[in-house]
Parts: sequence; C-alpha cells; structure tokens
Amino acid sequence: MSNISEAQSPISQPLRWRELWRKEDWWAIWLGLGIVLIAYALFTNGSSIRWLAVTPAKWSDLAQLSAHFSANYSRYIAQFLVWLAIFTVALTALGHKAREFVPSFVLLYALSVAIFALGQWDKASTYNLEPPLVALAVGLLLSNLIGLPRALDAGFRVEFYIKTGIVLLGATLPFTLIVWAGPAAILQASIVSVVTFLVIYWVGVRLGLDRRLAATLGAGGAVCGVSAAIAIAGAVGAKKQDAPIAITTVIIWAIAMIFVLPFAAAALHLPAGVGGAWIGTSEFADAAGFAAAQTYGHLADSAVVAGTGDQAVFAYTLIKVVGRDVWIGIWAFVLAIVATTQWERSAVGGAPDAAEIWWRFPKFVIGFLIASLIVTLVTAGYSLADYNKNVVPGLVGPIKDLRSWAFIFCFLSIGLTTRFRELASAGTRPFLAFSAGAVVNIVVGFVLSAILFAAHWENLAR
Amino acid sequence: MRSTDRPRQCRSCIHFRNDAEFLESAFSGLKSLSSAFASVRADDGLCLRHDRYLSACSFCADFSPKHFAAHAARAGDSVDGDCDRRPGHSASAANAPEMTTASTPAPCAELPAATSPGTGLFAPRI
Repeated sequence: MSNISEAQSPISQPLRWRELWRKEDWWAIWLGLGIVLIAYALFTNGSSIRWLAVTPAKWSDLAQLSAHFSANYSRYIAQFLVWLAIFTVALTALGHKAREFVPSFVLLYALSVAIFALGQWDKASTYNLEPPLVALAVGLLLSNLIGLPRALDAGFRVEFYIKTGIVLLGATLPFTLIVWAGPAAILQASIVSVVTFLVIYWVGVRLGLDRRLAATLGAGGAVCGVSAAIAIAGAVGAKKQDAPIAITTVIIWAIAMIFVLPFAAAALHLPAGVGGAWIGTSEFADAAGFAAAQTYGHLADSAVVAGTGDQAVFAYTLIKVVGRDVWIGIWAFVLAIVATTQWERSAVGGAPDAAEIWWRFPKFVIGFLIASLIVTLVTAGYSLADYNKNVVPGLVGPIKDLRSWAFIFCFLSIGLTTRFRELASAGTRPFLAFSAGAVVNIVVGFVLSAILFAAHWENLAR
Repeated sequence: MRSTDRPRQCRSCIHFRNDAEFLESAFSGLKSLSSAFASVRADDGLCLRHDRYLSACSFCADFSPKHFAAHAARAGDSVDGDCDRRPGHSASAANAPEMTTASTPAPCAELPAATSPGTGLFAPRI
C-alpha cells in the first residue's frame, strides 16, 4: 500500500443507473439471462443450444477420451469463442483490458477442459478426483509453487464466474421449489448467521479487538465471507487494516472447509440434500461453498452418498444464496447504525442510509430468481414424461452443462488468485475469534441440517 | 439541515480512493473469494488520510476537493453522492460550485461543528 497515490485518484461519481453496466452482478444477470432466453428461443423453434453446451463424456480409457475430442473439437472451439466473446464484452465494460483478459482466458479454458475431462473418468471418484477439488488444487499449485505472470489475473474472475453460474443455476431450479423450501432455508440460515456473528463479535471484543474489526470478522463468518466482510467494513468505517485481516481469515477457513465439509458429510453418511444444506450453513464464501457442494453432488452422483447431485447443489443454494446472501444490506445498515450511535466516535463518519440495503443487495440473486421463474413458467404445461423426454435434453440439460463450465472457471480461479504468501497477516486474536464462530457455526449448522430439518432437506427435489 | 451545513462527501475528496482495480490491489486476497466490482461493496473506498475504509457518503473536517471536480461540475455531473438525495440533504447542484471554487482544502471552519475530529458523526436518518 506504500505506492498509494492520492493524485491518481479519479473523481468518484455515484453509480445510480450506471451500476447496470459497472457491476459484476448485473453483467452476470445479462449474460445468464441472455443464455437462458436464447436457449428457450431455440427450444421453441425445435432446435437447441445443446450443440454448443458440449462437455466431456464419461470415459474409461484414453482411446474413448481421444475419440470424443476428435469428434467434438469444433464444438469446443465454438464454445470457447462464445465464452470468450461474452466475457470480453462484460469485463471490458467493467474496466478490464481485453488484451490481458484474452490470453488469461485461453489458459483458463484449456485447464478447465482438462479438469472436466479428468472428472469424467469412471475411476475419478475412486481417487477423489472431484473436478472442483482438482480445479482448486491445480490452481493453488500453479499460483503458489510455480507462479504465473500477474497480468494473467485479468481472466481469473472468481465472483463473476460464480455469479454467472448461479443465474444459470436458477434456470435448472424450479421456482416452486424455491417457494416451498425457501422459508425453511431462511429460518435455518438466519439462526446460524445471528449465532455465528454474535459468537465472533463477542469473542473478538473479549480478546480486545476493536469493535469494527470484530463486526467485520463476524459478518465474514456469518453472511457471505469476504464479500460480507468488505461490505460491513465500509458500513462501519473500519480501519484500513481490518478488511485484509478478515479477508485472510475467511480465505484460510473457506478453503480448508472446501476439502473438509464434503468428506466429513460423507463420513457421516448424510444424504445429498442434508449435506448440501450443512455446507450452505457452514461455508463462508459463495464460490468456496459451491466447490464443496458440487463435490458432494459428485459423490452423490457416483453413489458414494445417498441422493442426487442436484439435491446437494439445490440445498446449498437455497441456504446460502436465498437464506444468507440476500440479507447483507440489512446487516450493513443495522451495523452502520450501531457503529454511529453506540461505538466510539471517529474523525470520519456518515449517516446510515436505508437505501444502502438496496445498493449492497447482491443483484445476481435477482437474475437467479428470474431465470428460475422463466423456465418454470415456460415448462409448466409439460407432463412429467414430456418434461423428461423433451425439456431436459433440449433446454434444461444444456443450461446445466454451461453452468458446470462457469463453475469450473470459478473453482480454478479461486486457486489461481489465492497466493498465500501475499495475504495479510491475520494475527492470533482475530483468527481465534473467527475460529470460535466457525466451530459454533459448524456444530449448529449440523444440528439444524442433519437433525432438526433433516427430513426437509433429504426430500428436497425428490 | 441548512445548505451551508452540508458535508463534503468522501467521494469528492482527494484523500479518498474507491476505484475497483485500486482496491483489489490494495486488499490482497480480495479477488480470491470476492470482488471489488461486486454490488455488495457499493462505492466504498479507502481514506488515505485517516486510514479508514469508508462509504463514499462519509465526510469529515479534512475534506479536500479533487482538482478536477470543477470539470465534472461544469459538465453537469454531480460531485456529491446519492447521500445528498436523502431526506435532510438538499440537491447537490447548489453545492457543486461552492466545492469547485476551492482548489485548496476547504477551511475547517466552514464545516459544521459536528464534523470536527472526535465528534464527527451525524445522527442516523432511518
């Protein structure tokens, strides 16, 4: 931060309507809904986006894999070009440089194809080669042991890919399911969020942390990880060093939990929906949680645990996105009031504003809900047999496959952007405070998911 | 609140930086599991004078306008934020010329007493 220059600072205009093209959330909506609408238009005309939504097929020997790529290479090239084009437009509008993004995305896509193909190996589950975990591990190895040029970071946009994937996920999740399971998800998530926040905050203050840092850490553990920590840090006017401390703490815990939670849930023989709900309750960041939930879904699809992969991902999404993420604006508003009325005064301040609830709202959730509503409405007239025969292969299936690509881009990007030696030192006391909340979160999350609401999550989307 | 009591917001202050690329480079690890381009960040940024991470609608006695604020004002842009549209704040247009005439930091005496260091917070408006 030593090279920070005030002279470089451009004047900051309020975003207002410019948010529609200056924030990743909205671009995730435009891209996600654009894909859904094009897929639907093709479907209604008797065609499908299927050709473009190519994924590696299941294989047991390299000859099969080679044959697949020989037969489908043109589809992969076309898909790559489409991803490249739409992401370039979006990221350029956000202020990134296309000349930096393009080579970066070439690398990202090539690695994604390899990891996706490895995950389709019929013995992948035997060796725990789940694509999310492999992507994360490969990314971490490349960024921490080998090292990549900094310019390549332009294409490793974790949040953008996961948000685009979540909007696409909405198209595969019936809106009726959201309505049916949403209240339980909100109740469960709210209980865990409040308990986790209070534990981290209380322990942090007891350990002598500044209240603003304690609140920043608490939100990071209770709501949506790094995003929540940043939002609350701004709302309460945290010190400059508070946000990096929270970022480091959340990253370490979140990445550890990606590897721990799915296998802990499998060891406890939790059904897919229950495991997904537990991950949704106890993971900290959306992207990390999707990596864990997707891993658990793969374990379900491989018959390692009961249920289906969709159940794990749907339960996770309902708890994390619908139950926790959407409340970040309210957390920020309430804590801003507390900070300005109850905590020590500072030289810099501002009046809490209820409009903050909207400005901080994770807008991609709107896209997720609209995508779900669109597909639910347009497929409402189909019988179950027709739905499975026509809608799944022609509309929902291809969207789901494109979603899988977006998620792999995200999981790889997590590893490729996480350089442990560059993270700020968190310090013992903040780490202890956060860890206390994390442990309580895991225990309470397990009790709620696997005991109190077990039947609800086990039967989700069955 | 009288127009002369209007605080100068951080978004127009030379000490404040909130461009997304800057924040991602300033906060190591931010883009690993989040993003400075996300809606949840709103337009928060770093105050390089007080070493605080703040809403762009914050204010203090050390406000110092950016040199090219005048250009923005002439172009018809608001140099104040959405916060000015809250109840109790008047429209930003009236404030813009006042802010842009100063190429040097505004005298602290011009600011309301409530914004002086150590007592700088206004009561919340809900």
